Amino acid sequence: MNYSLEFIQSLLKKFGLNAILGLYHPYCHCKELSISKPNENQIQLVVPPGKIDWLFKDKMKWLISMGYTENDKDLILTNLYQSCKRAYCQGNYVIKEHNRYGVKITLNIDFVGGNGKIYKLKSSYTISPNGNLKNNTLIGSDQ
Amino acid sequence: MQVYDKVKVLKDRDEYKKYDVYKGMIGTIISGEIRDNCFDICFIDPRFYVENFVWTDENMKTMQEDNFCTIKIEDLEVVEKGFADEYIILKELPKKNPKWWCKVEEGYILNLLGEKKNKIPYDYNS
Repeated sequence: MNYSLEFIQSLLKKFGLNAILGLYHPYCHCKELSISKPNENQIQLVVPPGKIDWLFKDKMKWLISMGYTENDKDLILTNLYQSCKRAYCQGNYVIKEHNRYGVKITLNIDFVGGNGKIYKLKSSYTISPNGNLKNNTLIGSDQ
Repeated sequence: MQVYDKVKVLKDRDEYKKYDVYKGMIGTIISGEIRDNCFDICFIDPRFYVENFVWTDENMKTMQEDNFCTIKIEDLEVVEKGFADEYIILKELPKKNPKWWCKVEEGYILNLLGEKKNKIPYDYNS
């Protein structure tokens, strides 16, 4: 971070000769950390069992129209989780809201239907302050 | 009232209108925990509840996106009891901590240990 002469002079005037220049702020120990790009295997999705039950209870007819059957629930979930992790790693999401509880995102996923077609869908998660990705709704809608 | 119950919105408020949520709409509680005396509610396309409705490639294009809104407990009424039992509720709670406030029964906010948050029934700030 490069500070202009004017900025340094204004700091010295405001805080005296003891002003410490942090990376981005005065009197701050902020520093840059490099974070490696995550791969799909490193992403852990937190999907409470109730979210799965809710998906199949309310949206099973929709999944059937995509070529799946009632017996394909495990396959549906495997495909869904893979698509979500891929979308997250690729940055294919939109931030919907952020507050002190976390950041709500909508992932744009390519979901393979039971009929082999690719459906562009949305899936919603909250990134909690500890980095967990907790599911809000497994399939929100068509993109 | 608890997670996965279907609930009706009883009141209009500006903070709900921001999310296109209005009195009379029916949604599902999707948060296990109660925060600031509110539940997170999800409103899905009403056609999902129509008995013989069939989704096609055409009508999927007009599917309404799931809409989320945080709503005060006092502005909600249960219209259909959900499938959640205490095991399911516990799995929804942050760090699966049973001390989180997570249900409303007979005007009291409760946790899974049976403790009550409010002193006066239906006065959720008492």
